[in-house]
Amino acid sequence: MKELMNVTFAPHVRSNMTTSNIMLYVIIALLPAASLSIINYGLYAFTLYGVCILSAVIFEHIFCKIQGKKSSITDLSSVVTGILFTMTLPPTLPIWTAVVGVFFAIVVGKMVFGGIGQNPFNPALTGRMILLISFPALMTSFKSPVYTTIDALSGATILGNVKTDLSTYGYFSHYPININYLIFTSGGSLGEISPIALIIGGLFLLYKQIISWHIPVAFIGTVFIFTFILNQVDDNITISAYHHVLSGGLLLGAFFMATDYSTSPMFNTGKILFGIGCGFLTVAIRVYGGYPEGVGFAILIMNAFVPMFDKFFRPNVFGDRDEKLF
Amino acid sequence: MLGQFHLKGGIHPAGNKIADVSAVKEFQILEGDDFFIPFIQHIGAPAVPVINIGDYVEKGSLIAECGKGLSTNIHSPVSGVIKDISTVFHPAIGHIQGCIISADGKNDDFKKIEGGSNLAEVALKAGIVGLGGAGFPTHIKLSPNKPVDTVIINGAECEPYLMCDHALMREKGENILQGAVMIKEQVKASACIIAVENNKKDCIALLKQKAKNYNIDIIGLPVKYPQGGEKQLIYSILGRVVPSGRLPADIGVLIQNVATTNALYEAAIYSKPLYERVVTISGDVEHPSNYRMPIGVPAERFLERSSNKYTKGYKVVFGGPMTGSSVASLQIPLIKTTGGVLLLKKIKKQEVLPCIRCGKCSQVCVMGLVPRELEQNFLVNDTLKNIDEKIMSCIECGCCSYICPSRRLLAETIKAGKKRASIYLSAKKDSK
Repeated sequence: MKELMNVTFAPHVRSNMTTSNIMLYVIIALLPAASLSIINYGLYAFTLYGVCILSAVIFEHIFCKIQGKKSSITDLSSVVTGILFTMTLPPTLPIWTAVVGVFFAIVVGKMVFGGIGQNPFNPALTGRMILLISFPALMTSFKSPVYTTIDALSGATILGNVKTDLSTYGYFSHYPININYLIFTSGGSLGEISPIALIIGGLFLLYKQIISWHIPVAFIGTVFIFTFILNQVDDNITISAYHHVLSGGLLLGAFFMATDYSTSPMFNTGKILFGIGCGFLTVAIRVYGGYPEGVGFAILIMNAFVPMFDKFFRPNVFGDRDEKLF
Repeated sequence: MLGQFHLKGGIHPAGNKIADVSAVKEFQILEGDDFFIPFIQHIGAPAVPVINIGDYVEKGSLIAECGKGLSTNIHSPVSGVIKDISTVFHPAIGHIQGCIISADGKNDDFKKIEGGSNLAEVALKAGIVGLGGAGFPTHIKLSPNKPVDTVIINGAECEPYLMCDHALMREKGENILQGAVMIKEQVKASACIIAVENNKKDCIALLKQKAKNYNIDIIGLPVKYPQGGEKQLIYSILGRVVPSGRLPADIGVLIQNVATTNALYEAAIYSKPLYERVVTISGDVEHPSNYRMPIGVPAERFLERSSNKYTKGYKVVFGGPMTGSSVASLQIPLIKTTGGVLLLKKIKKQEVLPCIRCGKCSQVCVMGLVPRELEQNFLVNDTLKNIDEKIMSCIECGCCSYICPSRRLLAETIKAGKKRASIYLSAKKDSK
């Protein structure tokens, strides 16, 4: 008998983009911001990154084994979650707290829902928010970075300073718009140290077509426009739009967390509305809420609306609207 | 402006247009070669054989005539003796009725077709079908029951690897232009456009230079898959949308492939029936090139005579890599719709992973569908929901499977889902 060949359906060629490739690109995009934070906060920051990544991978592996499934760690998504989670932590957080946070991020935030692609809420932010609510003191004790372009802030970030000033004195001191602020901010969480590094990472993801422009542009644009208007109306309400965009976790959130595939809308209209929603909530929490920073909460709240966006804003089927003509 | 409409979605697979287009090589027929002719080489009902075992047939003589309904004639690709009328392989369907012809090795002229007062009748007599891959009988297309204002000749050839249309346009540019004029006159259209993808600059230049004598527009289109899909091509060129479930004729457009146009020209001028076509042999082979192939040649002999070797473990695909069918054996013959034979290296088996909701499948879908949901609906047997989500609009281009980073079998599943949906829909039609 002649040799028979394997028969498969078309298509017979595939793109070379795989899930693990995508995750690898995200890791590469995060490297500039992550390495700058290590430079600024030293060996302890490096240890935090290492411990979080390692424990994220181990938790996912163990969970898969308990379920009796094949381990899914090769898709590298737990490494991405580990890095992103570390970036939201203050540089002085004790190791044990970080590990607890990773547990909540990976196990409660992702694996119990069925793993990658199934989780309704961003895992890294879930972990961070559980820590923030459970250990508020630990999660808000910041440290001054080695390199900074802003001198002598009593709080960690401009946003934090403004909040403290307002609650203590009823007014806040203004900050000049300084171009150096793009390179290094005044500190805050590990990943927030350098806006330019985050922007470079985000542009890299856009260039590689891993994320689309809709969410970051809508998110950052809304924050900018909203705060610009507030600031124009009365500059005692809040600081300038420039500082709003560059301070805190906005760039990190807009490029890397709000664009998380599992927890963001799939279609363009939904993406834009999702971004606008995130932007509004962020400003609302920053200006009128109790917390100085609102990006994390804004993204988590909007995550809950994702199924709705996907249901109501679907792409138009080609030729469907013209059917009636006949 | 013609050809300026932006096609949403689509992909840019590696072109791999490596075959030699400088000349179309002739395939050598030797005495004793067996030709396997399935009686279905088109969409529709099988053709009815008009020969018996032991009959002598000339090259180009009728061996099976148009069956009932949608069907067409089939002619002998070679002079020889009918060895057997039984089941033969069809690359996509499997075992079907057909005949085996043993060649006598003579290289006589073909037997001319007779009669045919207009182009549609000639097309039926010559057994011409859409050579782009679908194989729709051309005589039906040429007698539209609605007015047609624009004829589009499709030379996009957006599939990777395939270069048969490219080679044909270089060789038979004049024929294609004259054939296009014939089609235009047949359907009384006012405009005629030949569309070529911009990666075939030589063809565009050549056709443009020759088209001066005819009233035909040559349009270069952006390189994108599936630019050559019927509905996509019409949209890219004219900006008109073919409504769901309708044909191009419903919006006054007729599309013919360049190879079909050439076959029509040859049938009308030289009375030549369709028994051969240009086929690309490409992929991971030593000598990728284009051959003028008689139909019915098994892939094994094609490989051998084109001095290419089959390597164990390679996949053999008839047609393009995006829509072609992979075959189980090298004994399977080439038919009228086979534009290429590709040998593809074995790729490392890739595991199907869970969907990560990246949404790329719906970004690349030219029909605006959501492949990931169609797949999920199929997996839970929800045919009704699939019909709601317009599964029948899918053109089976395969972009979703190509792009999926989790390597999910989207296009494959949707094809199966379409089958279920069409069974349901036809039952629903009957019950009314």
